[in-house]
Amino acid sequence: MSVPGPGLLALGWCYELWPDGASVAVGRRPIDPWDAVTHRVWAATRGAPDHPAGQPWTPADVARVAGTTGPDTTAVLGDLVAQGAVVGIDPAEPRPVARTLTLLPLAEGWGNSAAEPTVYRYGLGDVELARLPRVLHDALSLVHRWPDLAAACDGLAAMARDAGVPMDEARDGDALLRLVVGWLPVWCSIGLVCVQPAGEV
Amino acid sequence: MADVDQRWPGLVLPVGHRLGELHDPSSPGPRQVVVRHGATAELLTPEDSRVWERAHAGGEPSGARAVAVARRLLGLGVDPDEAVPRLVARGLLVHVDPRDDDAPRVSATVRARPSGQATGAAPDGTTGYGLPGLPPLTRLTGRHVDVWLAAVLATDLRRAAAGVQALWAEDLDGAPGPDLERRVLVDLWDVVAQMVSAGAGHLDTAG
Repeated sequence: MSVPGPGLLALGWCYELWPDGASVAVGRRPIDPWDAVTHRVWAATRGAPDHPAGQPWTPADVARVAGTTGPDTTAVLGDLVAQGAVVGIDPAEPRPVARTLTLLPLAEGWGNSAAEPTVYRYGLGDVELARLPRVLHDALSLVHRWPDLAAACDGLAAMARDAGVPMDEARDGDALLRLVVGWLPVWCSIGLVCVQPAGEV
Repeated sequence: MADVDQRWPGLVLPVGHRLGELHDPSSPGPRQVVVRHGATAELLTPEDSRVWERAHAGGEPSGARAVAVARRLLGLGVDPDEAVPRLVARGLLVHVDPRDDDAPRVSATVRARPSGQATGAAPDGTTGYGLPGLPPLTRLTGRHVDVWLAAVLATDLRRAAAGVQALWAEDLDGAPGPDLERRVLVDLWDVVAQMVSAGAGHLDTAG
């Protein structure tokens, strides 16, 4: 199977990890355990903390982070696409794919503070993972209300408009969706969220 | 305290995904906690926030025992006889005795969700959960990894128990029925209490 693009997203939640492999559930479906190379490529497909938001996370990025050769990476990515554990997405036009996806938050919200009321922090245990503006905090915390990520961004943009919440660059559903999808390689790589098939979380 | 011991069997666990304290610069006042559960994200009153936060066991699964939660609430000056049923009714706490006949019904009202992910296996065969690359928040044995997976994948914990029964059909000693379901529910709630207490998972409203 060929690798879609231009960007890639990893789907699933890793629930078991050994030196020589891992087990991941995609939506409500546990996938047969992977070997270490397959898991490394899948984990690299999640992205990187320093990736520029809005840029596609490409197969070349995956190979660089996974430390695998181009042909090996392409072969493994093809298998992962066939298993539904990787999808291609264009961060500039994400709607068709976003209709099939949703987000499962994996961290806790730590709220904002009187000193920084526009900054919403997320973390797990005692580790702070991210500081998000209101618009992205709302997207992350309320995405579950809608059947898929595209519908969530449309709904959130409408809610914000009705409530008079400043949306800046996320002025409508399409713009908010591009913003959220553009951040996914960062969010997934730090464990803030995992991407799952719509309707399966 | 003996009275408290007798009147608080089983477990009390918080329900909902913590979204943190919300500070609204336009309306200064007491800090309020936002909790997402089911299809809602609810702003708790300061008193309810204290009760909900205090229901978190803080790392020790034994802290999820109902009697431990009741004692913590008494330490706050809160009457658990009033506060726990009130938050249970609102879907923000669950009070379950897995050995009780009512456990299947209560289990059907909540589901489990993960926080963090697998961090790796230890030499003793246990799997850690938390943030990859960092010390785990908690560890599960292989058998309990299956239970946690069933809990996370099912739409409620009663269905999760049915999934565990099916998975372990050959290993479980006994015919299907209420007794077997109760035994599985005891195991399931032990694992759920451990994961929620460690912050490696949380409960959500089912349905």
